[in-house]
Amino acid sequence: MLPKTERFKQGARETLADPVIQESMEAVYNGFHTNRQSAGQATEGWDAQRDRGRAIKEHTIANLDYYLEMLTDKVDANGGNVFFAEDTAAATEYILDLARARDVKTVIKSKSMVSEEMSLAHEMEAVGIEAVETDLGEYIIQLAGEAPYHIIAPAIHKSQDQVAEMFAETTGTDPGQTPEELTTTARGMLRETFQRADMSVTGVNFAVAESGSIVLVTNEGNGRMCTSIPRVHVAVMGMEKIVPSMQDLGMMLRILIRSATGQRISSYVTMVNGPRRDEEEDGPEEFHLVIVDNGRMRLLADPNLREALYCLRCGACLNACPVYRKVGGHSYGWVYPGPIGAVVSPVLSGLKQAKDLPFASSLCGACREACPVRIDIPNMLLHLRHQVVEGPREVRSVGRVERLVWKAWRFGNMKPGRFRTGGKIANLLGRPFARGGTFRRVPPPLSGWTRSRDLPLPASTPFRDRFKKRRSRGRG
Amino acid sequence: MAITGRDAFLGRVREALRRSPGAPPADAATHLGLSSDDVASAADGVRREMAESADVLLDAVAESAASAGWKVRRVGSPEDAADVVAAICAEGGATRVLRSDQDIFDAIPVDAALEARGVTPGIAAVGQAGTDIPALKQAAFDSEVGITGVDYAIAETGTVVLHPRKGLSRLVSLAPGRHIAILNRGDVLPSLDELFTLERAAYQDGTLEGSMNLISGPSRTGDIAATIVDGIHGPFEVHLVIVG
Amino acid sequence: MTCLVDQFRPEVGESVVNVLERLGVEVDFPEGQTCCGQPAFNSGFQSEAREVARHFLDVFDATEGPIIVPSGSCGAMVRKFYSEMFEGEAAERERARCVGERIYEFTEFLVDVLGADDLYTDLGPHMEDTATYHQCCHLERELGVDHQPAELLGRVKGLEMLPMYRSEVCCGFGGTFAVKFADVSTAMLDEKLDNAAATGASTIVAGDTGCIMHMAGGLRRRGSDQQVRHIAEILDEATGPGDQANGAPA
Repeated sequence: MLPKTERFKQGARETLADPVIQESMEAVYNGFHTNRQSAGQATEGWDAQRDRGRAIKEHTIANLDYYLEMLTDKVDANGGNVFFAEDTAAATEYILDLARARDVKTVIKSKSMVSEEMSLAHEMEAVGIEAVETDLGEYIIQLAGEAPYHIIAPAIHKSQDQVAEMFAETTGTDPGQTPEELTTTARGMLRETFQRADMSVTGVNFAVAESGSIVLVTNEGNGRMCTSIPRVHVAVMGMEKIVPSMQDLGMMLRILIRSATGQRISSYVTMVNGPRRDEEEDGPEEFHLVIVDNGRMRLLADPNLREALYCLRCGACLNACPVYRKVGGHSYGWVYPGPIGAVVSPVLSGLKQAKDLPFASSLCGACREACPVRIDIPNMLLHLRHQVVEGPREVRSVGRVERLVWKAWRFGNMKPGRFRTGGKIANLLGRPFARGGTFRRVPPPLSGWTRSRDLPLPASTPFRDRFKKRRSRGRG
Repeated sequence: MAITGRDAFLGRVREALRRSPGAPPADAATHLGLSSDDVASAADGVRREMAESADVLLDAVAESAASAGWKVRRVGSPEDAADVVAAICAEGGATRVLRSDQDIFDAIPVDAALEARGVTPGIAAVGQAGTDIPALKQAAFDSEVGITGVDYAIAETGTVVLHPRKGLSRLVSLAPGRHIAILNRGDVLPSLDELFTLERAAYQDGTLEGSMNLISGPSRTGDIAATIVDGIHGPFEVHLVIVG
Repeated sequence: MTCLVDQFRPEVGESVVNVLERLGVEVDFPEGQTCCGQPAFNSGFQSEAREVARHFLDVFDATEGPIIVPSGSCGAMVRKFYSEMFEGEAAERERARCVGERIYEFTEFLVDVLGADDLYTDLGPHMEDTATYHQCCHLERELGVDHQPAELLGRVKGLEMLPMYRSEVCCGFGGTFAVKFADVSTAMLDEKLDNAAATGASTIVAGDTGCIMHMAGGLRRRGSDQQVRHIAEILDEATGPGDQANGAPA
């Protein structure tokens, strides 16, 4: 997917002005966020399990080469194929070649964020292969020609009426359908597609190194359809999605699912161990695992950013984030929205273009609190901000005015006398323009503040002077 | 089969991590440190617990399965189980019923109970009456009810575990609009952790089926206006019949 | 004392000193102090922040005893982020660690160090008002000061604390974020002020001057009657002489 990360501010403004989306964003907090909180409270040893989950991710990523080697040896032994892709172009080419070689006409896709990085459905359509998203939310945004709005709820921004209208245009159904009726409509359309699909592409929630297994979590059952019907199953994963042992899965599934939707477990968890065995009744004849880098190596190489690779893609940080809930998913301009997107998107898709993203946060820390593996997102945002200001030339992008402002700030703060005088001057200069001790409007660079908030005039007697007076009174 | 592009890729990973090739992890933060005896004895412990706490676990799974969205019925005998299964099919007006080819149907006379109500179930097995894979798929999509046994159930989550294999198609619990799963006393695990202890031991002993499915309620979506609706791709109704 | 208090809300500083002195704490204000460096650090200007932080360490390393700051943000900066900023400068890092260990946020110091029982029994906090508490982000989530303010406020007789919906959600301040992303920040502030207004409380209490300025600026723009006050101001008024004159137990 081509990044449009430079449009953040514009996207945010448009989203803030869209009452339908603002309304739908409420569900993110009232549903997912509060459900996650209750699920955590109801789970015995919840915090200890999160700590354990973090420890396992930390260990696995620190030894990633070892576990990737183990995983792929086992996939091979289970009768599967493995392709390592440095970038999305290589991954896409491998899958398209495979589809052509197997004479594939129809591909069903289960939700996969990596395949969004690749724009895989689009690439397939471009070469004449029918590619259908089967997660209902993905299906809706595929019809709309949009990117996912949320990691686990791609069409959360669409109202019932909007979906009904889209379905009516595609299938001629009544535009006044309820969610129940719309679901039935989609069921009919997608079942027909499932039956004739020759190939599936799914994501991977976890890959188990010791057994070469991959695990898929869905509520809809599309993951099961994709791993039961077509002749060829291709699973695409970011290189970080590994756990060492099957024994790690219980805890990992628990923290993933409870953080994502607040359910104790999703309707379906499917473990795939390669192609179907000869004696089995059904299942794919071929299994391919595509392991993608696409910039993740940069996260791995930077100790300040490495923990972004612990992410389970549960979406809890989005639900907790007050900024995401206002600006929505599309403002972030690439595959990954919200707090984790503000870290991952700049590194994977280019920091210079995405320079607004690390700054578009109040650093309130709600994301880190919600994260099942306690990823310190605020800290990584600070690191990226530092990169934008003082990093290598190719990523640095700060205006001259801002540099001057901070130089002046530094000057003013190096001596208390300057600091005090600065306040005095601001007070004197500002006084004629202030009403009742506050400004209604100030010039740039502070004009943003006064668009909606009064700005107080600095005190005519700062605390330091009052304290001095107190002391002299006290002694006198 | 084939692994492509691995050496160069792992080389870059090692460079990023400053690790040397083949170096095992410095710490043993994971379960991989367990010996094969440890794994086997942990599995024995789980099986003991399943037997010793069978009644408690059965009560627990009846409750958790209901809250996960299963319609739960408890019966005392194989005959009652078969009657309940046939009654569920009849309540839904189902005439096209498909069952797996598992041993449980030798013990539980589901076929007879259905036939008593005038329904002859299909059997989802390749080679059965000339069935091939496309025909099996067609039958699964055409059926209104799919009936299976249960390999394990999980008390923590209200989950039914199935290992598709010879006699147990992946689709019989997925494609029909209703799924009925029959659970025997003694097959209930306390939590997900015990499931993976057993899976790991089985893998160590050389058993790894093509896939494993954990089913915890009906097929569900919340993708239209955050409204939860049952029955998007898989069954819209799931029944758990507990025997014992 | 934080730079925002010094320049914009000196009365908060006076309240901090009043309360501490009533509890028998000898208070000093090292005059050399300016800012802790957080605004520049959070904006990515680490070189500038580091120099100002060095100045902060020069000033406070020369003092003794606990350093009390009426702000979660500044507390977090010194306690948590200084060591990161001085990574690779062992000596400076050590200085940062020593100063960081002496830093206490105001309510943290009252409850965890002094043991607030003295405050409750000796000063008999009392004031008639209705208030609601906004949980400032850095106080809660960077410093982990999550129960002390509520405990203190809950012990003020006559002060009716009304629960705020989503009280833990950020007000949208975030330092330069409020200026750079004014639209987003405003939408967050609006939600916060709506939730605060819905409590019907006459006062919003908070623990960080940044958030207070932000909410106060928004309230004033709205023409609201609600006021925002620092928790130190509430405790000062509740334990002050005016109150004792009203017959509250001394």
